[in-house]
Amino acid sequence: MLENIIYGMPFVLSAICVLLIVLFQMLDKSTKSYWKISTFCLLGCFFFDVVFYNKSVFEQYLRADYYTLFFKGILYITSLFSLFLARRWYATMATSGIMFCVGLLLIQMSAGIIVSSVNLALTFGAIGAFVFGNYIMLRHSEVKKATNFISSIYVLGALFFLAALLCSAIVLYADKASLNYEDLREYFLTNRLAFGSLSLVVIIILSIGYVFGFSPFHFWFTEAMGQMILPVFAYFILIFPIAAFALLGSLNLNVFIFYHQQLGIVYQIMAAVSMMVGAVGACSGKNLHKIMAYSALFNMGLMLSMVQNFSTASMGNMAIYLVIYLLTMYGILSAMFGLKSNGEYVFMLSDLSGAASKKSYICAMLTAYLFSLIGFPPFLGFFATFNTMKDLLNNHHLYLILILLSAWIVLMCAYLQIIRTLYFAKSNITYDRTERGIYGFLLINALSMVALWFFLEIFVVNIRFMMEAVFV
Amino acid sequence: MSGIILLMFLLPLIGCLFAMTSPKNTFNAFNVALLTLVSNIALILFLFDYLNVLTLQTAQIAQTYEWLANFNLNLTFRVNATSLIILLGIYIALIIGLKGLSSDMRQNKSLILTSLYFIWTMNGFCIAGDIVTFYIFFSAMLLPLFMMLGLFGYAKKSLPLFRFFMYNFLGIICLFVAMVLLCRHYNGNILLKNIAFVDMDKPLGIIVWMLVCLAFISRIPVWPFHYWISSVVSKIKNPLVYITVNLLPLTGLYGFVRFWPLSVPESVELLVPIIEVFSIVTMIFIALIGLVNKEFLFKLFSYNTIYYLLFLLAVILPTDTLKMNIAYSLFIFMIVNASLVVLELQMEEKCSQIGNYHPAIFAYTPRFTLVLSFFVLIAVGLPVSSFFWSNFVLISAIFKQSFTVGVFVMIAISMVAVVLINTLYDLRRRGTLNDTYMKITDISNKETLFWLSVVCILMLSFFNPLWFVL
Repeated sequence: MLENIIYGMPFVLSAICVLLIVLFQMLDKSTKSYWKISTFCLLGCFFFDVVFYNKSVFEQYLRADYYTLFFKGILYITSLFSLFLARRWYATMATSGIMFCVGLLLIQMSAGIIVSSVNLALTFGAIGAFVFGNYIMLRHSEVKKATNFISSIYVLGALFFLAALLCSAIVLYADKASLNYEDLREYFLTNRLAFGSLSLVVIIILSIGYVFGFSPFHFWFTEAMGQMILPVFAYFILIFPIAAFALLGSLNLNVFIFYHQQLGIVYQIMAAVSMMVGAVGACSGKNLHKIMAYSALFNMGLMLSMVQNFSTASMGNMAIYLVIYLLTMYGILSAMFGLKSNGEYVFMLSDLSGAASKKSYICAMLTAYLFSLIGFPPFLGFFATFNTMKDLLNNHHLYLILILLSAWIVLMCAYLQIIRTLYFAKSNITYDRTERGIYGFLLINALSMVALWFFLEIFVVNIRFMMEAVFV
Repeated sequence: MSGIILLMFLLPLIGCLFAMTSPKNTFNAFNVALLTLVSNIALILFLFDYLNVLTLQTAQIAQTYEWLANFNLNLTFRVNATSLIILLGIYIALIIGLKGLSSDMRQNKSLILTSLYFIWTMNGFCIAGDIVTFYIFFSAMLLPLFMMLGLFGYAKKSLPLFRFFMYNFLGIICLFVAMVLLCRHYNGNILLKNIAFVDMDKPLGIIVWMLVCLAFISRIPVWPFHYWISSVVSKIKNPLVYITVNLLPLTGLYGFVRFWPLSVPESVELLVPIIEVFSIVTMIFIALIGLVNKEFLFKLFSYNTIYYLLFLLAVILPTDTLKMNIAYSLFIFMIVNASLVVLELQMEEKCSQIGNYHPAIFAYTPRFTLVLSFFVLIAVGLPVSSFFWSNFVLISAIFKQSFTVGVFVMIAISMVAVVLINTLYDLRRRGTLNDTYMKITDISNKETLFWLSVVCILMLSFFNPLWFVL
């Protein structure tokens, strides 16, 4: 009994902390204790998930192994990073961050369940909670009325796809009387030639695609990102790929493995469209958030092109890309949090005009991170793109390679636009003093990437080892 | 000895880190850059000595860094005489460029930082021993170059700069694809000298080598793509940036030097006539533009292009014995080019101060006249330096391979020689002395001594190209 409580501590702690935050806020509206409670909650959950990485409270529903350790680890690090930066943002803007903290904890908990789940009903339930957390964040991010509209569109679409997931679950349960991954794998093995089964699988994948913003369902993602406040934008752009690929990896290799040929086509189309739309969209934007959102869409398409191979080797390559992508995005987002003028954080591209002459260190780091993101050597992103290309070549996806190369060229134009604005545009914008914490973050992130470059072999070997544990 | 290679490779990066910590608007960063370059020259001379003059042509030192040993992705650095000569030429050219900076620019930390970063990437590029390392530094140099051009070299219009970057980026993509294909077939990283032995199907081999050739050609202003660099270069007024940008075609040329002919399979010989045709057309075309254009920097650009293409035609000859001659020629070429740029830009600055652009200044600036004349004579290939001997050998080899190509090469070289000598003619005294022009100050004695010492280095090479190797 005690063991179960300890193993289930992350969920218990998250729930308790959410309640505590709400309670404290009701007792004293001016209190800012929700930041400390959230930080304590995340650190506590991180501790329990790492120490008891191979222990699960409900083993028939939730797994605990290296695979979940990897994804949960980067989930916690990302959430802590977002919390740290968000706290500064809210302090500067003198607004309450309680909704952000509640949304973050809810998304964190649901993402953790998505990663660990081995039961389709629990997975879909967690996706529902994830959608709800997203909705809270979107509504909280009401900078303009446009966000209100987008959050409504998102929820309506999500409800539709959640309903589709619910119907799929009901149909599968009616046929199989179980929604565990192992049982479903057997079910799909015996029914793999049935059109109905294939349709269910495609519906599930498309629903997941909508929730996580893959093309062709990216419209809400990019529009919402373009309007969001910076902390919510930062959190969304980081958390989505982690949860999405943890889920897809687990589902592909544990449940849908026998549909790899048919699903491969679906994934390829989604990947190709995501990459092209991401690259072209980034080029055409003047809104900095939107440019980065489209860039994130491109990167998610890239990772999807590896997930579609239904192999642990490709999952390992995807995970390597994901970690390097996250490290780079930590740097870019830190730089964005470090640039503000008259109390307003950078939002439009024109807000960056001539920033390099006033904030040379931050702009230099931003430039380096952007080049790393596109895969320019000698930055770490080069290895990520090299690995990706090798993976695509090994699996003979020649047309995806062509699309990738074209998209790279187009995306480079978008990043050049940012760099040109930073360095070559003239303006009279004065920037506020940047907190030392931001500089510290940038430096630590840069040193981490340099260290990773030198110890890349250890990193790659361990990541691939962890991905081998994907099988239930 | 591997420690020396590592030190030589990392010294500019270390200098960059030191310069980063120096205070703004002081000469500290400039001094760090100068010290870095001089120290690296000392290391290069030491390595020359080690390579043993007697076996200079074949000796090399290699060092491997285990990056991803389990995945057969180790990084190799290889130093031989060719790479050292080219590096030495680059360093001397950059020292001349630093010398040519105005007092304001010497205190500009960003310029120094980007220059040192660029030098580091050039270091890595010249001593790369495997395809991955080669690609890394081939690509990495584009970023500092872009920043230097945008911040210090190119004034207002960003569209040519944007085109410059994207065009080079396309070349980088070509090399990237070729590299990944080669690594996949070889199942790991591959040394440059072993590339010809990679077992690939003939069509795939042709594609890979076409991509490699395109990547290198993209760095050289070959017609009809010459415009991307000419539109950018002709507007640069910063000598260090001009010299740095003009090193970009060298990287394309050096790529061919490293691969051709021994590391390249026979199927690639199909590309040779195409390269020859485009090179000759560009040479004649650019020479004509140089004749017509009045700006000295544009004339210098045409001179650079023609000689880079001459070296390219020499590189793609089916022999491996000309590499040292090409290296000697490049060594002199880079130094002469840098000197001409600095002298020209300095004089332009002085003339603009009296409100006149290039009056008949030779009568009023005897020291400048002497120095400029020497460099022009060396540049056109007169027998005052090893440039004469090396070019003689290269042009003879081209004639031997193809008489027609040789004729066109001689026509282009002759035209560009006329262009440069005509510049001297234009600067001669005309009519009586002019009071306004007499306000132009000649170069100081100290500067004259500096330039004459550079001339001495070049003229002594007439007797022994590596006279400085003890």
